[in-house]
Amino acid sequence: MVARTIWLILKKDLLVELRTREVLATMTLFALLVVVIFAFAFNIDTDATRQIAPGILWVTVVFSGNLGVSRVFERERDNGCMTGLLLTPGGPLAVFCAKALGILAFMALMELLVVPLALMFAGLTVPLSGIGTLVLALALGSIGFALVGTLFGAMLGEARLRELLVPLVVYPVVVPVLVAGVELTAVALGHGLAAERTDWLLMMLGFDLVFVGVAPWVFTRVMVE
Amino acid sequence: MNPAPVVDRPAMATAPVPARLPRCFVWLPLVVGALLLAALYCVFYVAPPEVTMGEVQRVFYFHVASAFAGLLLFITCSLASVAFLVTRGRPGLGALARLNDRLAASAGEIGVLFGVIVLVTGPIWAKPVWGAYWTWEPRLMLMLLTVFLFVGYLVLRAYAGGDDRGKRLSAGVAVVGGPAVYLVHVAVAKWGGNHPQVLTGQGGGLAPGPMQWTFAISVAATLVFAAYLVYTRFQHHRLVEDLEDAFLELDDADLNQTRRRAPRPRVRPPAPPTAPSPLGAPEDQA
Repeated sequence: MVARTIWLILKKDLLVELRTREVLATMTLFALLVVVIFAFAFNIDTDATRQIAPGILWVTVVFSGNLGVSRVFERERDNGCMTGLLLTPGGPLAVFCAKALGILAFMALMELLVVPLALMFAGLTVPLSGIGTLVLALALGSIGFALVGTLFGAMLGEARLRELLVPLVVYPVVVPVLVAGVELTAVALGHGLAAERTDWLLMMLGFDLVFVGVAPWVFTRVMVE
Repeated sequence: MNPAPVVDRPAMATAPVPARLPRCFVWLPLVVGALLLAALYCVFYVAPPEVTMGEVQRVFYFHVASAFAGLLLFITCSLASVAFLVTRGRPGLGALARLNDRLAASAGEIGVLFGVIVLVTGPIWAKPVWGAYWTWEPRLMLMLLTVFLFVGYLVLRAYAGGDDRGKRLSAGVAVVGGPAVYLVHVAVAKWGGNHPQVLTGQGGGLAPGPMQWTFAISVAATLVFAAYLVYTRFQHHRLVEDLEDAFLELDDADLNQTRRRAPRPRVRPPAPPTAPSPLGAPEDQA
């Protein structure tokens, strides 16, 4: 029952997205703008500042992911849609899983477009041996961000000042993902400490595992009246 | 035919409000104040100045003590929020849930207060010793991010409304805050740093003797002070909730009474004769 509800909610979100292209367009355009702004602000066309490219990449991913989270839950705000979803047979757990999977899918699509373009703008090429590390880092990082973002986005979806509150609580929590992501991207680009690769990957994996447990529990306890 | 019970309104108005604070509010501030003064005296007159850092090292006694208090309170807030979410909505555990919620709120408020004290006293010490007010060093980042997170907790509590929803949402933030702060600690600790380790005895500059027991006294005084502040806020939240309950009961009593009253005849009282305006109303001119 839970699996079916997850699938139906996910299908609904993807269908709405296919017809409006609202979330993905906003996320991708915003991410590209952030990359371009950073490129201007840091005068990226010199070798010294290329070092900050991993930072730019991850700030872009996190900002754009935050935008995606708020767009996804903006939809459920009117007409008590969230209450309706919570009353489905799968219950709050299914809603959480479906929304987290949806946000993860949007983030993955956005990254597929933005990361190559961002690397191109920065004049960087990923060596063939680093592609695996980069993909793994983006995957684990996006899972972690999707878990935390979905939890707070859904919780604060109807709160006043949500545009302020969601980043205020999400950013401090995802700092480990950001730190590990930047380090791993540097390793992938060939100018980081390759010896620490496993440590950072394990940290991201640990973050994901902790929030795979914590986030759904908090969601089910908080969202039920 | 049973006559409807008559509601005694003045009695309803006074009965549910326990307007009295516990008696310890008279002597507790005196004890806490005396302890703080004793700690201040020790810090400035008993403890010798540190050999290399000089007088500015004295800020340590309260900086470190506040960090202890702040982190303890953040942990308290997180655990109490877990307990609130677990007990919430279970039959028979309503009182326990409310207690945990109040404890979490009070601990969060005072925790942010001590966190800010740490973030303010740290740079005072760091500028002459490290040569910079702020460095991106693991423990500074940890404290900063933790304070940010719990400021979020407080803002959420304030803006989501005082009802059950605001309590649930902020409790969720505090629950996530516990593991999140630990993970942030692990992440930023990998960067290494030069923050003095006071407890393990490296770089804090605490020589055995007066310095060490001054440190012990200031930690004790700060922790007692923090506990006293939490207790005060806890009582404040209790009074606010009791007052809200009393108002709700009053409203109910009011409603019952109006319902029992015979329906009033819906006839407007005759309008009082109005004096003609000196400027003249529009219909006068017509």
